[in-house]
Amino acid sequence: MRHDEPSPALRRAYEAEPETAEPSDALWGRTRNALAERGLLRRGRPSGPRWSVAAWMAAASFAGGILIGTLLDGGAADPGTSPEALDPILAAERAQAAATEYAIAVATLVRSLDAASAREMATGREVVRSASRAHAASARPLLAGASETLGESTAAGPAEDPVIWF
Amino acid sequence: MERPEPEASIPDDWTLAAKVAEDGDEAAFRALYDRHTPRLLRFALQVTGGAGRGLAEDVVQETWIRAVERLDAFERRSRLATWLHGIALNVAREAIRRAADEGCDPVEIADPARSVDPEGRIDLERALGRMPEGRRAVLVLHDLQGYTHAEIAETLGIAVGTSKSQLHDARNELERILTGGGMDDATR
Repeated sequence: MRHDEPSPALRRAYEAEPETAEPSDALWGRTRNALAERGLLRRGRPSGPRWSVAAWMAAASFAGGILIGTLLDGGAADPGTSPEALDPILAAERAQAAATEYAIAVATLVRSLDAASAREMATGREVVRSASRAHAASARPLLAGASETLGESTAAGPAEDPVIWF
Repeated sequence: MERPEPEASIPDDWTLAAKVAEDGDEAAFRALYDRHTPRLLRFALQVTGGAGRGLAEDVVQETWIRAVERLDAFERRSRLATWLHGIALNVAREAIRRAADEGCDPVEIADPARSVDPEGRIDLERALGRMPEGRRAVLVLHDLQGYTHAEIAETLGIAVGTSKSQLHDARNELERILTGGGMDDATR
């Protein structure tokens, strides 16, 4: 053995030492964010899981609107023979409008996903929460009124408490 | 007939680094990050002496920040990996000194259970943590990272002769610790 080489015991210890270590996912996220905050990195378009979240949100919103509309339209499809049937139809239209606004609010969040920073995400989410609460407050009595006429299932739509979607 | 050279499909470090420096290109940075971080993290674990992944990952994060800040000023005299390791070494030493100033030993706060095998042998990273910082750095750079004494001397700002003598002392000390002989002195 040459005098400038490690001993066999050390060599064994070195050989047992892995050359690499797997970094955590969190390390990538915080490193990228730290560089972006310093203006050293431009964020690319969101990709992978973030698009999946955006797609899920949009689909859920669309489905929610469809669900409300279907439930209410289904109940109102039988116009009935009494004048009271007009009220649930009006209620259904107004609830449908609320659901549409709700969908628009969700689209706001989806756009904020594009922006992608945690702060913008939080802002976007709060916008949707506020809008959802407002829509829920206005839609709930309408849905409750419609529910009495159309049946229990109407009140179970996502507009009953849209906030829980987030 | 002479065939054209196939176009390189994987950009080299300096092509990627230029994109990061000039455009802040995230995809280019991600490619650099994926290429170098696993080795950089192992190096950080070694030079922080097994103080744990938390501190080592902090070192790696700060290393990338400093590297990207200085990318445009860096000349292609050395390999990017070597340059990154030099930055990481400085960051790690600062972190260790900061911990010492605050009165806590980063090696002591590491989980001791993961460092000792059932027969009582200590693992290499923890053993490195029992060594003086200067010797540890020389040993890690030379024996584990393959630096020459001249490169170590330049990286650490010491004489080549100092690097050689520190390596000799570091190997003796590490062997003592690994075989149990140096544990008592080192841990007290």
